[in-house]
Amino acid sequence: MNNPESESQSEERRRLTSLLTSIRRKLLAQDLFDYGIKTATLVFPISAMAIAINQFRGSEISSVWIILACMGSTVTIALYRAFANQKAHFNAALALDEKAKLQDRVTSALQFLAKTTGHSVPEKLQISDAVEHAQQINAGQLFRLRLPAHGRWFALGTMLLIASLFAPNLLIVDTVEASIDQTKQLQLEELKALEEELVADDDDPELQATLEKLRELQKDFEQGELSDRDLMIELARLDEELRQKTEQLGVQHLEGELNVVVPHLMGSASTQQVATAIQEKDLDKAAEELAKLTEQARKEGLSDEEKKQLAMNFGAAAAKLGKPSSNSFSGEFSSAAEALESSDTEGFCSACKSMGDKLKKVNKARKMAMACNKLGQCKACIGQCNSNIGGYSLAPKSKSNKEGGLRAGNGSSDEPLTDPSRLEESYRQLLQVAGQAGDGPVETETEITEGQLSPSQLAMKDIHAEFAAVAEEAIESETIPLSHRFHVKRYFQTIRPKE
Amino acid sequence: MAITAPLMIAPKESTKSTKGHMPDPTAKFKRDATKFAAGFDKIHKEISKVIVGQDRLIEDVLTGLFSGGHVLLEGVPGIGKTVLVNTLANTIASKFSRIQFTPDLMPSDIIGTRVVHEDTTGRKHFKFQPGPVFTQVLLADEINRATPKTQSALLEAMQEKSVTVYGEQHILKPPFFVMATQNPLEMEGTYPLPEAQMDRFQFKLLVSFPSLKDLIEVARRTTAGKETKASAVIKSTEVVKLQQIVRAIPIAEHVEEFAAKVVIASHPDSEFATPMVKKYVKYGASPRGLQGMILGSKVRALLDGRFNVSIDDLRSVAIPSLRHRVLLNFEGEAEETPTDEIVGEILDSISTNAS
Repeated sequence: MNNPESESQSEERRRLTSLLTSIRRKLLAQDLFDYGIKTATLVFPISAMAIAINQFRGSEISSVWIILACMGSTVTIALYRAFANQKAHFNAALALDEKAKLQDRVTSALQFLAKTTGHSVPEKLQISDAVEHAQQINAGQLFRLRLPAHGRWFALGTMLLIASLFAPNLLIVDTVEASIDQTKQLQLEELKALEEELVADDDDPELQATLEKLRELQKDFEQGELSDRDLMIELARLDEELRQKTEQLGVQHLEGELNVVVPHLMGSASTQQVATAIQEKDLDKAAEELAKLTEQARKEGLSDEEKKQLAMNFGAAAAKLGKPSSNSFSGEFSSAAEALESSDTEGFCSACKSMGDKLKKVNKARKMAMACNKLGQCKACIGQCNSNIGGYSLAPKSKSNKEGGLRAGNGSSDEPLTDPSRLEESYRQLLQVAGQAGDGPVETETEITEGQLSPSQLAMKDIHAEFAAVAEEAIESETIPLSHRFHVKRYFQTIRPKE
Repeated sequence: MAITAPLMIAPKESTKSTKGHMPDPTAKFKRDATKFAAGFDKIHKEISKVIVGQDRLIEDVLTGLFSGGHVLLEGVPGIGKTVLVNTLANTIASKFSRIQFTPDLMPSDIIGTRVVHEDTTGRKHFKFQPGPVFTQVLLADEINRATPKTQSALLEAMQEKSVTVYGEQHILKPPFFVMATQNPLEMEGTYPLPEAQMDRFQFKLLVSFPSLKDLIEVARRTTAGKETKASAVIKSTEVVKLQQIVRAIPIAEHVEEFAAKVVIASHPDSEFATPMVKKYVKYGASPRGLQGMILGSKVRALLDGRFNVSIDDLRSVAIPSLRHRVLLNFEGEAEETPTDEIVGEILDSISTNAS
């Protein structure tokens, strides 16, 4: 036989227990959420720091692994703490009373229901009252997940974590900066080398002035008052000034005539030393040999045979050289031949002296041209150093133990762009090429064009954008490693001309 | 303050009639509880006709009445303490006595004495002449003016609800409710209540000075030609029944534990003692304090339409129940530390998650 009172009580107990079980689950979820947020608030900034350091150092550990570890630890700690702190039914009842302002109805009812003895009338009333009140509560609304008080710190931690993913690789920046410093060092070395080379020829006033100017440029560049671009412009100006002075000497034609006169000078024993010196490009020595010849003619006099031979060779040379002019040895050879034929020693000496002066002039022009070439070469090297920044590490230039010459493109190197013997030596040797005159008449013409004043015929700003666009297109369309793409982009950014 | 009991949710089975003419006990108890709230409200409203403001004081006095305790009112003269007691006695239609305590008052003046009585035959014999304590509502006015000996005459009456004279015990008619007043200002010629006597009072209530608005209303009511009087709204027998309803209200273990912890925490050497208790308290509250708290909170629960005592109920009656039971040490007396603050700190320190 069923006892209706007992059935009613067990029904109330079942309803209350069911409600409290669902509240326990909600409390567990809230605890999980709270502990998750709390743990993440601590773990996220630490992970952000780890990721940032990882990114800064360019470590090979992927940031994804750090994030996964961070998430894993957060979830584990939150789960552990939430389950460790799991609430009993009584705590769930307390929470329900507190949240719904039920004034301990549910907790009291739970304790009355736990009694094994019979319930008094007020207790039964209380249990029914508590169950009815609890049933009216919308537990879902009351125990919905709420962001804990420290939620703002969690948001900050999350932002830090995201921001850390964008931390730059400082090593790349360091490399670029180091490359820039190294480039400047290389450029300074180039300038010092040029200075040393010019010091050897500093007896000439024009070269002396150029040297002084070069030292000033070097000082300004070293102190940073001059950019590498300005340095190259100044070097070009210096080069142009020196070339103009060389042109003003007006010895271009004389340079060509030397090849013509050498065979005739070789034909006579008295002038053989002069010819040899000219062949050896030692024009100072050639002038000295001529001075010795005039001294000998003055003191001891020349034999008739020598006079005859000299007059014949000088006359032939004069004939080959054409009309006498200030820019030709023709007048001197002609005067000397005539003086020998008329036994005019003073006339012969005067012609030889004039010839020696012209040889010295040619020698000076040669030195100035050499200096111009050195300036141009230095400018090219500085430009080459500059072009290598941002992407390609520059090894310090070392002396090559290989022979110089036209070796551009010959041989192989692991780092072709840093091979110190590659272009630099080639430039130097290219300018030292000299032709060997044949026996027949030779006409030479030296043409100095605008192009030789500058390695580029177009303004860089006109072509940079075009070249950069092509490079951009290429790195997008071709299969190029990501790191290399960066270097190419960086290179074009670095050489972008200033507005 | 008008107190309206919220509609209690009746249990489903309470609406069904049981077999025969047997009344449903749950429905009956629910009706009684509703009656209690209604009775409480009626008395409160009636007293409020005479007493201006002081709603909380009236509520606390009625709480003391219905929980079967006694109340000590403390306040400066002329703020309505005596009027409140008179009015209460009128509203519950009970026998009322007033004793003006003076230093020369004797215990026999309170409890009564034997006098020689001559009957119609001319025979003389002693007959007990009951004192003013034989009443239902007793006003012990300015109780601290009498000597401790006289004050102690009330001990048995207040605790046992009976008086023993010359070996003969006389039961007092219920409800026996003592309301004492004392003036905190006039210390000269007064005798502080002994701890045992103080402990008999369930509540010690502080009567505050009325607000400006209330004071103006007091002036209007008392200086006009018509005098307002309270009438009886409930019988004294009904008061006794309502007191029984209060005691029937159940209390859960965790609430009891909270109340017990509060009492224990008032002792400086207990594990729950707060820093203030340790520093300023000499002796803590007695078990009577716990009883007073629980009974008072049961009244609060009924007024709130509940059949269970909540911790908030306990909190609301803890200070009037314990403030006079916490005895300060020398340091506490010297610094005039309010016992209300000490009890407040105790209530804040005890965790509600007791179980």
